[in-house]
Amino acid sequence: MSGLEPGDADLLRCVAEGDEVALRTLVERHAGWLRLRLRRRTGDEDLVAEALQDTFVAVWRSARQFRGEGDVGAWLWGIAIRQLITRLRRHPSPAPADRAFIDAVSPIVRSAEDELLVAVEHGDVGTALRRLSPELRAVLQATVLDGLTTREAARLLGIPAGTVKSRARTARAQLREQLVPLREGRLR
Amino acid sequence: MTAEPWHLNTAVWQRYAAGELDAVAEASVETHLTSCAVCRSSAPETIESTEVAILWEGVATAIARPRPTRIGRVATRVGLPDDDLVVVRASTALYLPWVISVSAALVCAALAAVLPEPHGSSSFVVIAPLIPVLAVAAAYDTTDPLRELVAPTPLSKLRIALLRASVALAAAVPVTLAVGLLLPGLGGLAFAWLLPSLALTLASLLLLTRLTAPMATATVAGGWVVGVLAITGDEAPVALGSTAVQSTFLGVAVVLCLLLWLRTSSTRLQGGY
Amino acid sequence: MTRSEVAGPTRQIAVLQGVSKTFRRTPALHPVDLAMTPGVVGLLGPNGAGKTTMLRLLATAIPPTSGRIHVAGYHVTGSMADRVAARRRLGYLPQEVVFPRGMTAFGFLDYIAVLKEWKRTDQRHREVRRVLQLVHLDDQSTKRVSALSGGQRRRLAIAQALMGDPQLVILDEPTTGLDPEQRASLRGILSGLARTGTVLLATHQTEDVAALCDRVVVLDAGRVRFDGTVAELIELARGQVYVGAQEVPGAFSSWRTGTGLVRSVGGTPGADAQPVEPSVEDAYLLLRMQQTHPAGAT
Repeated sequence: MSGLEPGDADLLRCVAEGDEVALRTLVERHAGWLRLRLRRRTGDEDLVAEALQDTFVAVWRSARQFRGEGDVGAWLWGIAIRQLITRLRRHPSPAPADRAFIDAVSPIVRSAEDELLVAVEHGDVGTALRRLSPELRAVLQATVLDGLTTREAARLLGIPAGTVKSRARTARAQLREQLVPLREGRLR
Repeated sequence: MTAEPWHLNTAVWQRYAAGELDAVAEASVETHLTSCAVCRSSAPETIESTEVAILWEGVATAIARPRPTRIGRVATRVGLPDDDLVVVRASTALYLPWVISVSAALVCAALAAVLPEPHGSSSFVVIAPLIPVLAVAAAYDTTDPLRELVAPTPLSKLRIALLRASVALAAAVPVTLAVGLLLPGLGGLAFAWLLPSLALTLASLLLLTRLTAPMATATVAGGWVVGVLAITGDEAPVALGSTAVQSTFLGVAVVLCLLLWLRTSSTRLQGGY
Repeated sequence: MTRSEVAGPTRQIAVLQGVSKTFRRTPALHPVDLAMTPGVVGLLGPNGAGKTTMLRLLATAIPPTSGRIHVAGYHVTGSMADRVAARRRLGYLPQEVVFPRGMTAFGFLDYIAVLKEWKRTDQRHREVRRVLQLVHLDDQSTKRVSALSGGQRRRLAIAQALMGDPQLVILDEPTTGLDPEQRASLRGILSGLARTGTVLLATHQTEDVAALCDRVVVLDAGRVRFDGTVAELIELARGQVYVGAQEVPGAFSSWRTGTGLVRSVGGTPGADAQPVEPSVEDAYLLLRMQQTHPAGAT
């Protein structure tokens, strides 16, 4: 972890002791990226704003529970996504923007700066992921990337829990199928 | 996968912010952001400072707002307005009526249990109606530490007093009822004190608009005890239990209620100076 | 034409007509006639002079023994309805505020706001945040009052007086416990208020009067000894304040200043003493001395 991380953990410690100024600093540091990421999960802007506020209120109340392990960023995102889901439960919102459409419409520009990113995208995993259908990818993103439970993922995506489970299974099976021959191909 | 540190550049940030990255690239960006404070802090402004200020105001208010207690939530569902709830919560002196009513009820029980029948039940039936009266008086004449601040405010002092009195009653009545039900000799009389109590409480509230709390309570209590003992003596439990007496008390209560309403709707009686 | 003459009765924020107050046979205030126009009015006087009593009367915390009081155009001693209407337009800071235990700064202000008839929760909370920011306590809103310092508690008490932008703000010794920075900040707030309404502040600190007030009323033993502008008060001491190497013989009061010279108020100066521009404090001292030694210096 870089030398900047302790700043956030220290802030959380202060917040746990009732320091409002520390909370405000956390808000200023993290509101931007949290909002962006929440927007990628739902089309409802009002819900995002409410969830964002609720997130920091929850941070205030549960700062003591952050044990100092792991990233503050990950902890914050965990709170944020769960706040969003709680709100989605009360107000089911329109489905997030269609990924497949976006994929089709925006070409990936390969520039020098993107080399590294490209390496990931067009590495084994990237290729395998790309070959999955958007619905399967969405389920993987929710369960793996966001770390949600089946029920939470179901609420986020607006599909039944059973569907989440079966799609996750299918996705993993497909990935396995794709990755093994790719690896073997590379080794040859 | 290599563990080389890499960071996002402006172009990628912008595309991510605009939602133009494909799912895989987006996933990479997000995973990276979760753990890289450098990128988070060096990223271009994704949120206006005015928006942050508004967000902060919302957060600051939400964390400073008093948390609703279980009783508070029940009260709100029943229809108690939020501002009345604030008044009730601030009335720290409300512990006193609780203590008084509980202690008085226990004394009643002790008396009733110790004395031989019919003295036991009589004592209970005579003392029980006064417990809510005591509780209300205690809530009314609280030594409010903020008295100097409260005096020059526009909110009706009578409203504050009535709110506190209601809470005091809500505490006193169930406790006394419970004690009455637990006493072996009473039976149905455990409820017979309720209507007289209502009449007495209304009478004391009416008197409180004119007299100080100790005076009003003394008048009501004195009148009641003397009246009951003089008229019925040891027959008090039976007499009180009769339908005629109960209906009388009901009638009296209704009249007193009307009088109280008339008195309080005149603006002169906001309470206090 | 002075301002008070131009202003009709409706411009007078507070009027006392023959107002007196007696507590159990002790007269705290003898019949007083006073009229205040918008601005900052200072109330000076020793302990027991009746400052607090006068403020409590104007704040409608207590009724007068005799006389009539008008606040913000309402006849508060006349009818309850007028009194309540006036109360909606005033803010009051008592000399001492005993906070209920267990309340947070926000919770305290929320309660007072309810007492000031802010019924709607969101508006009320916004007003609470506003006054917290005014007194620079907005990052302490969740703190228990018992955890705040004395100066912070004083600022909190001042904040409640400022809620709702009242037309008349009555402050009893507001700067007690504040350091010079906080005092300066409070002065800023008060001058802002004074543009549209009246601020009446009772204080021992003549510097506050000098810095803030347009008018000053000097009370002593329940009577008004002086009522006029600060400039007029200073004029009383003109030519009677000297600075020299030694104390002026017969001076009411003298002290060695930081420059090593002696400042004297009153008395017959010798050749070495120079008359200087009097301050509010000098004039106040002179008034007080003349009160206690009316025959003159000895």
